[in-house]
Amino acid sequence: MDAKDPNQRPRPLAMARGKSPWGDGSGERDEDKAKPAEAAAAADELEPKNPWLGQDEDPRPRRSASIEDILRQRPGGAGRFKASWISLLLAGLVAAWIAASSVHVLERDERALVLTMGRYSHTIGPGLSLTLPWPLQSVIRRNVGADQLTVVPDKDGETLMPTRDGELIDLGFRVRWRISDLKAFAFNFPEGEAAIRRLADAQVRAAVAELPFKATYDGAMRGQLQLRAAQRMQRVLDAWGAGVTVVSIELVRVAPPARLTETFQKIDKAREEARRNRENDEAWRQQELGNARREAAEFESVYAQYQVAPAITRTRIYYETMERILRANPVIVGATAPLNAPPSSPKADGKQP
Amino acid sequence: MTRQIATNRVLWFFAALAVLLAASSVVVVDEGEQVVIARLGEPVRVANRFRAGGPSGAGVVFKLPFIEQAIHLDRGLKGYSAGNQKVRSGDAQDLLVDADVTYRIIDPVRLVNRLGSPERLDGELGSLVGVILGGRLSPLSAAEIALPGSGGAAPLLRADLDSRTRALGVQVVDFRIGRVMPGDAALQLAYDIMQGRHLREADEVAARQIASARQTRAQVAAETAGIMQASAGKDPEFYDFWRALRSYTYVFENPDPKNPPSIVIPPGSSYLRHFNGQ
Repeated sequence: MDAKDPNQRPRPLAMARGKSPWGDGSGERDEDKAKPAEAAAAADELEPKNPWLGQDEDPRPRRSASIEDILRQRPGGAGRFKASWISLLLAGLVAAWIAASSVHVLERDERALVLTMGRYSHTIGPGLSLTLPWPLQSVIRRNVGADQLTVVPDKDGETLMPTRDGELIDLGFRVRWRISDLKAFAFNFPEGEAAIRRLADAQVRAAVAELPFKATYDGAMRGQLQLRAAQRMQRVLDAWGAGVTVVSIELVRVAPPARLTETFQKIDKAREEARRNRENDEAWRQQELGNARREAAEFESVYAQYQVAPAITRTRIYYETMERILRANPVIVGATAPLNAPPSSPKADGKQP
Repeated sequence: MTRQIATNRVLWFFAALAVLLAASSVVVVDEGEQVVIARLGEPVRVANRFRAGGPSGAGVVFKLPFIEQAIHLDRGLKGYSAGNQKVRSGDAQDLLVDADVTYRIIDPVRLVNRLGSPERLDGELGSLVGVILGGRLSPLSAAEIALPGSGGAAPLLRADLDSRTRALGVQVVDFRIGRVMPGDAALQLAYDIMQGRHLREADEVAARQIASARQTRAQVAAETAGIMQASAGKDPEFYDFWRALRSYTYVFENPDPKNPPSIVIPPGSSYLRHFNGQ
């Protein structure tokens, strides 16, 4: 057939044919050459297949490479159809790869660094941009507009931190940060978020160690703690040239150590009870004062009458009171002691007007 | 026919060889890395070496195929964390300390000469950090170590480590004490102390409440006395009379309908004075 045939045939690279400069498997092949063909064929079954060669290839025609062998091996028409189909597929793949690695659509907050053979060339912004395909140019794409959230610790469970007064507090927090200089961030600060996480942890721990337990736990100094940690973190990042802006550090979990939960529940219960008692005391106080004021007001009004007509007022209120009382109760007149009084109410005795 | 195939094979072989040679003599140096070119293991030059504010040397560089190798190293800041380092503080507490080191490779040739490959750097840093921590932290109390700057020790730690890593071509940018936790025995003690304090706190809350209730009662008594004094104080004798009548009304006006008290009025009582015609 024509000489183009070997070119089109999908086969392992030429260098895999016993001349591999990488040396992999070459030992095996040298051995093969030394042996007679029959021995090699037998050895082929025992030894692992050469990884550089297709599995379906028979080693024998390779060694006695005559064109008849090759032609006999595959039916001509079908082979040609197969070859063109595969080259079409390859072309398609290449086109897809070029498209995928040279067309970039960036979102509103994104920027991308374009590297030409590893070297920084320029930065592209939102929208559609074209670059050369992959091995020539590559991009490092990052979101620079939106805040990134880093939650510390990154796993569940307690994170105990010692306080100034030797107690322990369980803290969880998150760092809100943003890339302010993408070039610095990408090239000078390769560990990125991992380094931010470590630094934030150290800064928050240091800030917690400055304050007594109560100040952090009760929340009185929480704002200051967050602010201090964030500011110090920013200073360090600036000194490093990390290209990062720390927006804030927010404590999201402030708890006593899990082992002391019961103790802290006792405190909470005592506080709750104290609050309830205080509430009751206040209600009682209002009632007492109200009673006193009402009585005083009542007295004042009667006393005003009394001042105008002392004797008459005195007599009048005495009889008015007697009428009210005696009409409401059974009255016995004439005995010095209750004659028919029911034995069950002896307490009424002492209250004779 | 056969000869042509053979010629093709030879061509293919040389083409492949050419590609291989080209691939082996070109090194792509990334912006974030420095590349040491070593000839048979001996460093001969550096591409994109870090210099503060210096120009970038990234891009394509060439080397001799096969006999020169490219060793890729980071150019940016790297972190190393030494966890759970045992330290005994000045106040005799056993502590477990995490140290975070931030460093940069400033002399890649030295690093390659000393360590061969950058992978061994972490191990070197680890052993150096262990040695340095003990020396610098032992005069400080546990509380000081945890403070920002570790009671002034952080810059000294950095300088100590830096002076030792310079021989490896590494500059230490930052040495920071992260987690500082008491060891097992000290931790138990810390828990006990903490529990004692906070149980006392619960008692105090209750005691404060009792005291405040007592105070409220005394205050109310004083206030009501003041109110009554302001009005009844004008005529205590009349107040006595009025208050007695008010008390009778309160007790007898609305008796229990099922069991009312019987009121006995002796004939000589002042209420019946006129009734008796006296």
